[in-house]
Amino acid sequence: MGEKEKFRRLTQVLTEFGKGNFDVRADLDSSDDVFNTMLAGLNMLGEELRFYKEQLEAKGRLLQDTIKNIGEIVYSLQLPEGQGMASYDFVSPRISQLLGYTEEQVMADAGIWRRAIHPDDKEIFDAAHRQLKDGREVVCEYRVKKHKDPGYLWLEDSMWPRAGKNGSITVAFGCARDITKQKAEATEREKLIRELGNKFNELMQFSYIVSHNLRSPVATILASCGLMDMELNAEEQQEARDCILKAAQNMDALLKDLNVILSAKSMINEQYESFSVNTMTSDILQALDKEITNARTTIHTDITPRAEYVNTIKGYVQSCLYNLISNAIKYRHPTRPLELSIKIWQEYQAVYFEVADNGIGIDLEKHGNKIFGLYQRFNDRVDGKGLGLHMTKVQVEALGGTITVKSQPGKGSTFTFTIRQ
Amino acid sequence: MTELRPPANAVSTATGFTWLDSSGIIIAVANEQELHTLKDAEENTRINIQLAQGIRRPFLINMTKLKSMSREARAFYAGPEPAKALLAVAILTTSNIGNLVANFFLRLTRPSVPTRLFTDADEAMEWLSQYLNNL
Repeated sequence: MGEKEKFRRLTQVLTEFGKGNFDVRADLDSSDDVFNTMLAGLNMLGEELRFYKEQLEAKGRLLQDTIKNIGEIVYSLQLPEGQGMASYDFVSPRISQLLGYTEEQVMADAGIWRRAIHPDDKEIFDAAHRQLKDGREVVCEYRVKKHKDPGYLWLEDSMWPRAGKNGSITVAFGCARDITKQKAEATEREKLIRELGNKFNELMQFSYIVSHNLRSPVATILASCGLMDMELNAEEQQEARDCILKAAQNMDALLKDLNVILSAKSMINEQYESFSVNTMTSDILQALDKEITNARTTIHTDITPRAEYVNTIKGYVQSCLYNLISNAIKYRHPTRPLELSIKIWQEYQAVYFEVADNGIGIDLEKHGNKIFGLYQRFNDRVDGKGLGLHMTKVQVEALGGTITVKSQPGKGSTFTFTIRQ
Repeated sequence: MTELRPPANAVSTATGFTWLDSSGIIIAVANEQELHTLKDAEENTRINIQLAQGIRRPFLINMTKLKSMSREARAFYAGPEPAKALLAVAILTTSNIGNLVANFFLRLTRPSVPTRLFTDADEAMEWLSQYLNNL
């Protein structure tokens, strides 16, 4: 074989290598010249390159399969110098399942991802990209709206930068995973812990009040019994017996109150039913007609049609509304006619009841944290036991709701409670 | 320079001749061959193990006439099976192509026993003789 022919073969093999075809193999003759040696080298080099090409292809397929099937969105980012939005040059297909956009859409329009982020969380996302440019790894959490879906997903987005040859950060990699379920569980956990804490405080307060209020009549009975052992005249004996009787009656009244409160908390024998709040309000106003007239009351009622019928424990709602209206009358301003406003409306899964008056009001700065407490009283001008607002709160909470108050001394009060539907 | 001529009792294989010389070194001479395959490597190793008689020995291979060796064959020679019979390997070649094949083996495969490339048989035998003390 002449040198020209060997050179032609050498060129042919190198051309095939250039095309990525390493299967080509050159025939050798028996000489030991430079061309033959180069061809022998190319034969072995081709085999070596074919091996590594196959290895790379196999690893590439494995990587592609992994990226396609893992639950996270994997992506790479091109970070612009200075201001400007990062662009995505790779996004794994999982994005279409999580966000409803195809990877092609996100790569073509870098703004899609940022636009889908909840307005309150955009700054978290922008700050993360700024940190990336500073060469820092970032893990952040934000809400993203799914395409053509009203709901938001929570994403945990981990990003890490890679420095270019000149040390500047122009490329970053990221991995975002759906943490919506974990977030919901954490919120529920926090709510439960808060509720447990509140219940614990309530129980502490309850046990403190019960022990305190029972101690007084018990002490009276013990002291009076001690007197009975002494030599007393008939009048003194009668006085001691009266003291014992009065203390026993106080204890009886206290235990009855406790029974009512505990029954409300445990919701024993109470049944859910559907009823008209319009009718119920009219009935309450009718029952309080005499007091309303005496107070020269102007009544405004506003019940939205959606809130007309509710399904809950009627007795509790009636008791709460009655208590609030009755309080508005009892604690009206002494020098002006009572203006009473009753509003009932529905928002999402809750029905709101609002009772507002122009009465004497409450100093919330002074009494705010005690207002719904047991046996708490803030006005001696009107008779009462300090049980009504506590009972109202217990019943509202038993119905899955909350109660709040806004008030200004001398101007009036607005109580609002909700019940869950 | 010593000429490696196969003795009468040399084992003839598809790729050349192999024998155990009087000093305890296994010597092989490769024939002209277009491509040394895995099958050739397995056959030669089997013969080396037979000749070694249960002792790991120095090994001299003249691959001057060899034109190519497959990747699988190189990987096999560098693995544990040949090392059962071989203590050290001296590769002898005086051709450009043999030199190329030997360098592919040395640089890309990383043999598991001490291996060196020689162009002179006497130098190769002298280097191997140091391992005879370990027999």
